[in-house]
Amino acid sequence: MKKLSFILTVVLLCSAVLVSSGCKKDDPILMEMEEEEEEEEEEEMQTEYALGWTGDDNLDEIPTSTNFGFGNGDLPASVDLLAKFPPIGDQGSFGTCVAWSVAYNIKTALNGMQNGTSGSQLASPANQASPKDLFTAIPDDEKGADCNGTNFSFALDVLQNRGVASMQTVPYTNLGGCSQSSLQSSWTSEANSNKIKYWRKIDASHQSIKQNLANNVPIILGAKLADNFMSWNSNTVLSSSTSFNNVGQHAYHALVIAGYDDSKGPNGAYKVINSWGEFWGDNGYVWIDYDYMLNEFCNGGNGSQPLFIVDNDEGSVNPPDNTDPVISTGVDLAPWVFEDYSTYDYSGISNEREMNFNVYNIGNQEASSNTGWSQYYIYYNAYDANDYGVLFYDEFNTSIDQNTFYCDTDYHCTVNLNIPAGANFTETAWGYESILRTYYMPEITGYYYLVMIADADDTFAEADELNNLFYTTIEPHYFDNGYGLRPEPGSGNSQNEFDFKNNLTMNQQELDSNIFNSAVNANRPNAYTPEEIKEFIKREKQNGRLASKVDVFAQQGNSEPYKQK
Amino acid sequence: MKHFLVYFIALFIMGCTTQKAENNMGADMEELIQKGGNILIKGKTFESELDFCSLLEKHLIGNSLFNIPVQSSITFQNCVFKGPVKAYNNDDADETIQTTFHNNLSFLSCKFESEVNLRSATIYGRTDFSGSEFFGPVNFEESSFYQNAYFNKCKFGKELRFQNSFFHQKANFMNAEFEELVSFQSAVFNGETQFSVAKFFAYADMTLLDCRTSIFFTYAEFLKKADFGNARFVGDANFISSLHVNSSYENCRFMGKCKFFKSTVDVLLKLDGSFFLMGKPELGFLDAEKVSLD
Repeated sequence: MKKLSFILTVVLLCSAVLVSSGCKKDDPILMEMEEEEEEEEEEEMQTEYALGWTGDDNLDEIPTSTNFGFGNGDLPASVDLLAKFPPIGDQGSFGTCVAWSVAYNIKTALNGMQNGTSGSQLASPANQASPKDLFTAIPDDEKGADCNGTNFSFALDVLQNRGVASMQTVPYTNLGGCSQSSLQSSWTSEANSNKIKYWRKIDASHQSIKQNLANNVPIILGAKLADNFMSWNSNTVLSSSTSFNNVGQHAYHALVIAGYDDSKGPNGAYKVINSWGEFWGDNGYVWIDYDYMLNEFCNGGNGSQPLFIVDNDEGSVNPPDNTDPVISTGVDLAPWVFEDYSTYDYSGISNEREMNFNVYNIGNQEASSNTGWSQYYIYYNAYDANDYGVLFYDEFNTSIDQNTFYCDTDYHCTVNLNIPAGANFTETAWGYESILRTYYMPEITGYYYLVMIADADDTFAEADELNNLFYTTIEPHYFDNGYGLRPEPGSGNSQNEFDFKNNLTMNQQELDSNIFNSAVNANRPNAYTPEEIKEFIKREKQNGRLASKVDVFAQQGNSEPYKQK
Repeated sequence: MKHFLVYFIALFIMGCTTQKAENNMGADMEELIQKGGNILIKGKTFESELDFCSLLEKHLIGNSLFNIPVQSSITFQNCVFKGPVKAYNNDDADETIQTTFHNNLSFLSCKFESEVNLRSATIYGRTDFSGSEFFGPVNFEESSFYQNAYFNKCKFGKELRFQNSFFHQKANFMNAEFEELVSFQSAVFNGETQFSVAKFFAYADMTLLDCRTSIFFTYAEFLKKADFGNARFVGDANFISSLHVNSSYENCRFMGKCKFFKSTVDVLLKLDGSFFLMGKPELGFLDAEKVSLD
C-alpha cells in the first residue's frame, strides 16, 4: 500500500511539474518575462563591448563647476595641452578605460603641470599615475568582474579619498581579475600621498569646455561609441556615428579632451586622447567635430553628457584672479550664527525666517569701514552653486555718518562702523550679544546650503580666510518652494523643517575650530569647498552677476507674492 | 466556371482599389502605406509631419535596433512638406528606429520646408529627389541606396549630412546647390558619380570619400573650403574646369587619372601627401603659389 502511495505521489508530482512547465511555455506573461531575462542577458553581454565605462553615473548628484565665469575674455582660436600628457596609453583588452582616463591621463597631467614636469619626465613611469592601481582599488561591487568596467564616480571617489600609486610601483601588467583583495599595502601607502582635492562636472557647452582648456584644465569625457570609431584611422575630423551593429548600443568609453582648434574641420574640433595605443586613430588621438561632440558623441545615455574636471590641489585648477585688493592685514572676521528659524507660527508667512548672528574680529587689527567690506547671507544649490541667491547683505562703508547704520530694505543695510581687534559687530554697534535679522526664502526647490559670508569681497587679507564662512546647513537641506518644512519627495518624512540651533557656546576656540566653516565632511567629501564658494562669490561680485542677483531679490521682495501667506 | 467568376470579380475589385490608391491625395495615404499600397501624389501640400517610423509596426532587428519595412512604391511630385519628413528616430536613448524602403522612394520637384531625416535608411528601389528644394537640415547619414540615386538640381538650404552613406550604383548630384555645410565623410560611391556643375557655397567635407569608379566634378564650384583629405579614388577623378577657393586633397589615393585641366584656384589647392598611381595631375597652368604638392 505504501509502495502504491509512493508511486502515486511520484506520478502526481511529475504531472504537476509537467503541467507547470506546460503553463510556463503557454503563458504569455511568463514568455515576456523570459524575453526580458534574455534581453538582460543580452545587455550583460553588451557590456563586454563597453570598453570600460558603464555609462551610469548619476550626474544629478555631482557638483557643477563654478568656474564658468572665469576668463571671459576672448578665447584663443586653438589650445593644445597634449604636451602636458604622458605618451598614449594602451588599456589592452581590459575594460579599464575609466582608470586610464582619470588616473594615467588626467592625474598624471595635473601632477605634471603642478610640478613643472617636462615631456621626457612624463614618459617616466615614476611620474605616471597607475590605472591598474586605481582600478584595483575600486570596490569589487562597483566594477565588473575581470577588470571589466566601472563608472567615473567610483574612480574619482577613490582618487579623492585614497589616491593613486605610480606606474612605477604598480605597472599595468598581470592585472589578474583586478579584485580589490589584490591591493598591496605599499600601493595604498604611496597612493595616499597622491590624491585629488575635488572633482566637478562641467556644463556641456563649447564655452565651458574651451574655457577650461584655455585655463590648462583638461576634461574627462564620457562618450558613446559607434562602429566607425573602432576602426578610425586618420587625422580627419570625425563628425558622424555609424550603426552600433558591432559595438552594441551601450558602447560607453572614457576619454580625455586635451585641446581644441576652431579652424579644424567644418565647425572646429576637439583633440581627444584615447587609450588604445598609438596605432589607433591619429597616432592614438582623434579630432571630434564641435557639433558632433555635443550632439552625439558625448553621451552617457538618458540624455546625460558626462564632462568632468579635477582639482589636483588648492589653486591648481582655474587659479583665482590676481586682483585681490589687499588693503589691510591683521583683520580676521568670523561670523557666528546662533539660530535660524521659521517665523511661520506667529507671522503666518510661510517663507519668513529670522536669523540671530554676530561677526567677530578675532584678528589684531581694526576692521575699518573705510575699506568697504561686506557680509552676505546666501543660499546655493548643493549640486550647482551657479544656482544661488542673496538672502540679505550688509555693506560697511563711509557713505553715511560715522557710527550710524541705515537699512533701506529688510535685506540690505549700510553700516559705517569700525570693529576693533578682538571686538565684534553687534556689541560695538548696539551693545548686544547678537542681532536678529528677518529674511524671506525665495521660491526655491531642491537641496540647498545656506551660508553666512563675512568679507565676501575678500577685501582683507586674513590669516584665516575660511572662517569667513558659517554654514547654517552643514548638510544640504531640501526646500520645497522655499519652505523647509515639506517632506522630501518620496521620503514620507514630514519633519524636514529647517531649524538651525547652535548648541555650542561661542568663544575663540569655537571660532577657530571651523566646524561650521565648511560643508565638506566624511559624508560629502566632494561638496563645494569653502575656498570655491568664497572665490566664486568674489568673482560674481566682480563680474556684476551678484548685483543682478540682488536686483532680482529686490524685485521679489517688493512683490506681494514673495511673502507667502 | 463559378470559381472563374469569383476570381474575376476579386481581381476587378483589387484593380479598382489599386487604382484608387495610386491617385490617393493624402487622406488615407497612411493607411495605404500600412497596407503596402503604392503611393503617387502630385501637387499636394502637407501641413503636418510625415513620419514613416510612426506609420508601421517596428520590428526588432538588433540590440535596441528596430526597423520599419515600407513595401509601398512611393512617389510625390511637386508636393510641399511643411513639417518634418522622417524615417529615423532615436529620441529614446535605448531605441533606434530606421526604415527600409523595399521599393522606390521619389520626391520629384518637391519642397521641404522643415527637417528631412532619412538617416540609416535602406532604399532598395530607385531614389529620386531631382529638382527638390530643402529649406531645413537634411540627414542621409549611413543610408544605403541600392539603385541609382538622383539628387540632381536639388537645392540644399541648410546643413546636409551624407556621412557613411553607401551608393551601390550611380549617384547624381549634377547642378545641385549646397548653401550650407555639406559632409560626405566616409561615403562610398560604388558607381559612376556626378557632381558636375554643382555649387558648394559653404564648407564641403569630402574627407575619407571612397569612390570606386569615376567621379566627376566638372565645372563644380567650391566657393569656400573643400576638404577631400584621405579620400580614395579608384577610377578617374575629374575636376576639369572646376573652381576652388581653398581646397585640400591631402593624403588621398588616386588610383585612376586625376584631372584638374582648366581649373581655377583662388587661394590654395593642397595635394600634399597624396599618392597618384597614374601620375601627378597637370597643374602647370595654375599659379605656383596657389598649389602645394609634395
